[in-house]
Amino acid sequence: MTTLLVLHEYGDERAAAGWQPLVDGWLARGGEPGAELARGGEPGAELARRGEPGGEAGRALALDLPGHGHTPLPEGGKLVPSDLQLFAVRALRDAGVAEPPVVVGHGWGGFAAELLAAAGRAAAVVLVDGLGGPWVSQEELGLLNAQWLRGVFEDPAADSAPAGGLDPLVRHGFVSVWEREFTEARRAAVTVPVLALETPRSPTPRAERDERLAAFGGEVECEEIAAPAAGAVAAALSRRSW
Amino acid sequence: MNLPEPDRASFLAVNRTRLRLWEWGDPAAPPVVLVHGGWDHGRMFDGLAPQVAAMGLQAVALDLRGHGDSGRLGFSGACWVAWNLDIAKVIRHVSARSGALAGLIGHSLGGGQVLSVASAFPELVGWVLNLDGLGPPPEMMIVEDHAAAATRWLADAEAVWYGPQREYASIDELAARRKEINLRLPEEWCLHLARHGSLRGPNGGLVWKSDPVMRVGGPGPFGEWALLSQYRRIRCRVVALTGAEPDMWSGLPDDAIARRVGAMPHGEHHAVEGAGHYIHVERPDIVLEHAGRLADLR
Repeated sequence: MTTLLVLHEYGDERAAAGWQPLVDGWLARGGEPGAELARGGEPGAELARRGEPGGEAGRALALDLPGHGHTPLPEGGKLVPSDLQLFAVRALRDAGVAEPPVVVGHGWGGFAAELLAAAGRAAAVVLVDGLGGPWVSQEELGLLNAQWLRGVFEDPAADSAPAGGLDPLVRHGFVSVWEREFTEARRAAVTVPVLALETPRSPTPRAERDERLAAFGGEVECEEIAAPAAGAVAAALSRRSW
Repeated sequence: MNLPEPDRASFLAVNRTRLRLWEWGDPAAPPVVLVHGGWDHGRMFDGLAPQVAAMGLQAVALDLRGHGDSGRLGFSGACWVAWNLDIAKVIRHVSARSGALAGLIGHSLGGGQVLSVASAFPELVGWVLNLDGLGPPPEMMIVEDHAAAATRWLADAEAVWYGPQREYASIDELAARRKEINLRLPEEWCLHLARHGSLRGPNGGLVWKSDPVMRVGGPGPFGEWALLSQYRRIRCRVVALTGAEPDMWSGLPDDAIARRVGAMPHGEHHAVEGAGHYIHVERPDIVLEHAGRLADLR
C-alpha cells in the first residue's frame, strides 16, 4: 500500500498534530492499528513524524515542518518555500520510504507537494486550499520581497530561536510565489493525479480556480469541502483508489 | 604577494548565525562594507580593503554565511534573502559606530547582494560600487524543462547532503583547482584564497570552507524582471564596473547591461580595460578611483 505523507500549512500552530486523524484513517484503511508519534532520526532533532513505520499494510507520516511543533528551523534560521520540499525528502529517506508517496499538502505544504510531484517523488497530490494566492505581478513580487525583508529586519523576536513551538520567524510567513508564468510552467510538469480540495477559506480567487486547475499536466479533480480538516480530507481520499 | 593582515578580526552574532568580519581603518570613520562573490570569502579583499581604509574610510569585509568562517546554510543554498538580512545587519552594526551611511562594494554574487540591500534598505546605504555583479545572462535564468530541473535539483541535493566533500592534498592543489576555474586570477591570488579559504577535512586532507550546500539551489519565480524591479527602487548612486577582457563568469551582453543599469535611477556603467571578472584584483586603481568619487573624497 502506498505511503501517505502529510505537509501542514506554514504557520499552523497545530503542525502535524492537526492531521493525526488523517494519518489514523489512512493506516486503518490498510488494516493497521492506530498511529504513534515518532521523533528523531537523521538529521537529528529536525524531524518529527506521526505515523506507524511498520507493516506492509500501510505507512503514513505527518511532519512538523521546520519552525513548528517539535522541529526547529535549520541552522541559521534560513527557510524558503522550496526548502519545505527538501525537508520532506530528508524525512522520507530517514523513514526508509523509497516509493513515491501520496502527498497531502495544506497551503504552503501544497507548494512543496507540487515540487515533489514535478520531480517524480509523489504518486499523487492532494492540495488542500493549495492552488495559490491571488496572482502577483513581477513588479509586485519585488515590492513584497522588500517588505518582507524590512519586516523581519525590524522584528527583534525574529533574531533568535525559541525553545519550542511556533518560531517567531515563521510568523512573518513567506513571500508570495504566485507569479502566473512561473506557476503555470511548473504545474505543467506535474503529471500525476491531482485532487484539489477547496474550502471557503481558500486564498485562491474563485474566478481563477479553473485556470489554476488547467495548468496541471495530468489528471485533475476538484472538490469543495467545508474546512481544511483531517476528517474532510480523509473522506475525500476514501473515495479514491490510490 | 605581501598583503597585510586585517587590522581587526571578529565575529558578529546576528540573524541567528555568526558572521566573520575583517576590518581595516578607523572604526569611527564612514564605513564601507565589502561583499565577496559566491564560493569566495572576505579575505578576497585583502588587497583592496587596506587601500580603501587609507582613503580615510572604515573598510569591513564579511564572510557571507556559508562561506569562510561564518555560519552554515541549512538545507539549501537558496539564501538570497538571508544574505540580504545579514548584510543589512552588518551595515547597521558598523554604521552605528560612525553615524554615517555605508558605502557598499560587492563583487559578482556580492554585487547582486549589495544592489538588493540598497533596494530594500535605502536608508542604510549611501552608495554602491558593483564589480561585475549585475546578475546572470537572461538565457541562464530560463527553465526550459521544469520536470527535468526539479529531478536534477533533488538528485544534486541528495548528493551534497549524503556524499563526502572532496578533499585535497595541499594548498597548492587547492590553488591549482581555483586557477582552472578563474583563468585570469593570478596564481599568487589563488594561493592566498586557498590558504584562507580551506580547513582540514574529516580524512585529514583539505576542504574548501565554503558550504557544499551552496550547490543546492531552489525553484522560485525569477528572471531579469526580478532584477529590474529591484534596481528601479534603488535611491543612491550606483557605479557598475565590468571587465573589458574575456573571462570566466563574465560576458553579460551589452544590451542586458544597458537595461539593468538603465533601470537604476542613479546608475552608471564603465567597462574596465585590462580586467576580467576580478576587477578589484586586476585594476584596483580604477576601483579606488570610483570608490573615492562615490564617497565624495575626490
